[in-house]
Amino acid sequence: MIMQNTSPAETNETLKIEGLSKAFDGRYALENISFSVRRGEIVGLIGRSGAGKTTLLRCLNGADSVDSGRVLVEGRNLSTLKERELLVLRQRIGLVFQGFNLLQSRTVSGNISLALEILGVPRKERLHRIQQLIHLVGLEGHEAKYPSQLSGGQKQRVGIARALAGHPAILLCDEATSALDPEATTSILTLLETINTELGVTIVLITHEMDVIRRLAHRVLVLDQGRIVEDISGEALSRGEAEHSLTQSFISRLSNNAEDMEVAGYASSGF
Amino acid sequence: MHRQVFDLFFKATLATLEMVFASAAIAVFFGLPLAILLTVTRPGGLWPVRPIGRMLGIAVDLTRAVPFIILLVVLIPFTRFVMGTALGTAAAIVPLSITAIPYFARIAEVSLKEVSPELIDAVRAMGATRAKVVRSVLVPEALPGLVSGLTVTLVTLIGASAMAGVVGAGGLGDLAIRYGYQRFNTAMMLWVVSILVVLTILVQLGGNWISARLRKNFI
Repeated sequence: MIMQNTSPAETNETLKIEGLSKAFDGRYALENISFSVRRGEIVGLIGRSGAGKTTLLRCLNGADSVDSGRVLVEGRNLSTLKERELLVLRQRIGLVFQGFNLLQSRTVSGNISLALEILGVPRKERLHRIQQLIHLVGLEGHEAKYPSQLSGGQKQRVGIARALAGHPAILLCDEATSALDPEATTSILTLLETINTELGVTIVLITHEMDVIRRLAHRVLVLDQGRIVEDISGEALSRGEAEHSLTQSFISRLSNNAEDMEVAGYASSGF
Repeated sequence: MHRQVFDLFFKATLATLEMVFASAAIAVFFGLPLAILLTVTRPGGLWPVRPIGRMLGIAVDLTRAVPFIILLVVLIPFTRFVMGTALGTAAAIVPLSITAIPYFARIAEVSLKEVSPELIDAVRAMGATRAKVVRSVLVPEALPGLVSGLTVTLVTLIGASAMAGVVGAGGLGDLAIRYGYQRFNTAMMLWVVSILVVLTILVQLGGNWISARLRKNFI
C-alpha cells in the first residue's frame, strides 16, 4: 500500500558511519565509531545509560554535528550538506521517541498532518495520506482524538505513523517502548516488525529491554563509554557467542528475566 | 437613573472598552512576536542569538519600569505625533498600548517557555524550519497560557484606562475624576467603580472560560 521511494544511491548500505567521534567538554561521548547498516536490517543499539546511544542516534540524523568522521545516509555525507539539504534529508529519516513528542494541541490526524506539512505535501493529498497511515498503524476510529485521550500504545502508534509520513528509508527509535506496559510493547514491536518486512524500512533502535532485542534485532551493537565493544548478529547472540563481558551481562539479564517471568519457550525462541 | 446620566455612563463605558480592547489588540500584535523572540533567543533555544534577546529584554524591562502615570505624561509628544492630538479616547490608546506591549510580552514569554524543549527538538529533527516550529508548535501549544496572559493584560488595561482619565482621555476614569472627585459626587464615583468591577469580572470569567476550553485537550 505504501510505496517505498527508491534510493538515489546504488549502495546497499542505507547507513554508513566512518570513524565518528564526538566530544563534550573535552571528553569523548563517541570515539572512533564505524559501522554500516544494510537496507532492510534491524539493528539494536544497547549499552548502559551514558554510553553514548542517544548521542549516536542524534548524529545519525544530523541533530548533533560530529567532531570527526563521516555519517553517510544513503550515500550522502551529512556534514557536507547545507541546512536546507539537511532538512530534506532528515525527512528521509523517521524518528520515534520514548516520550512520543506529540502536539497536545492537535488530534491524531493533526499530528500526522504535521509531518506531511513539513514535507510540503499539498492539503488534498495530506488527507488521503493520513488515512493510509492511520490504517497502517491500526488507529481507525481514533482520528479525531487528542493525545490526552489515548493510551501509551496508541500514542506511540501516532508517533510511528508520523515517522513514516515521508516514506523514510530509516526509522530511528529511541527507547520507543520503554514508556509502555508489556502488552503495548508487544503490539508496538509487532508493528515495527511489519513495517520492516512489508515496507522494507531499515530500523535502528536504542533499547535497554532485552525483549526488544530478542524480538526484533537482526544485529546488535553494544556501546560502552563511547565505543562499540561488540558487533554481533542476533543468531550469534542467542547462541551465546558474545565476547564482551558487558554483552554477556545483558544476556544473563535476559535469561534471568525469562526464568523470572516463567515464559514457556522464551530462551529458545531465538531472534 | 436619569436619561442623561445614563447616556454619560453608557458613552464612558464604550470609550473604556474601546481603549482597552484596541490597546490589547496592539499589545498582542507587537507583544506576541516580541515574546517569541525573547523565548527563541534564550540559550539552548530555537534561535539562540543572545545579543538580540538581551537587547529586547532590556528594552522590555525599561518600559515596564516606568510607572504608567509617568509614561502617560512622557509620551504626550509622541502621542501628539502619532494621533495628531494628546487628548481624548483615541489618544489614550497610544500610552496604553506602549505599556501593554512589554507587559503582555513578558507574560506570553512565560507560557512559551513552558512548551517542552524536547518536543521542539523533535519537530526540528523531523526537518521542520524554525518558522514552522514557531507557527505549528510553539504558539499553538502555548495557546491556553497565552489566552490567560491576555486576560490578565485586559484586566490591567481596564485599571490603566481609568488612570488615563487624568490626562483627558475619555471613559469611566474621566467620569470618576470630573464628577466624582472634582465635584464631590460620591454616588457617581461608586457607580464608576461598580461598572469597572463588573467589567473586570466579566473579562476574567470570559478569559478563564476560553482558556479552560482550549486546555481541555491538554494533559
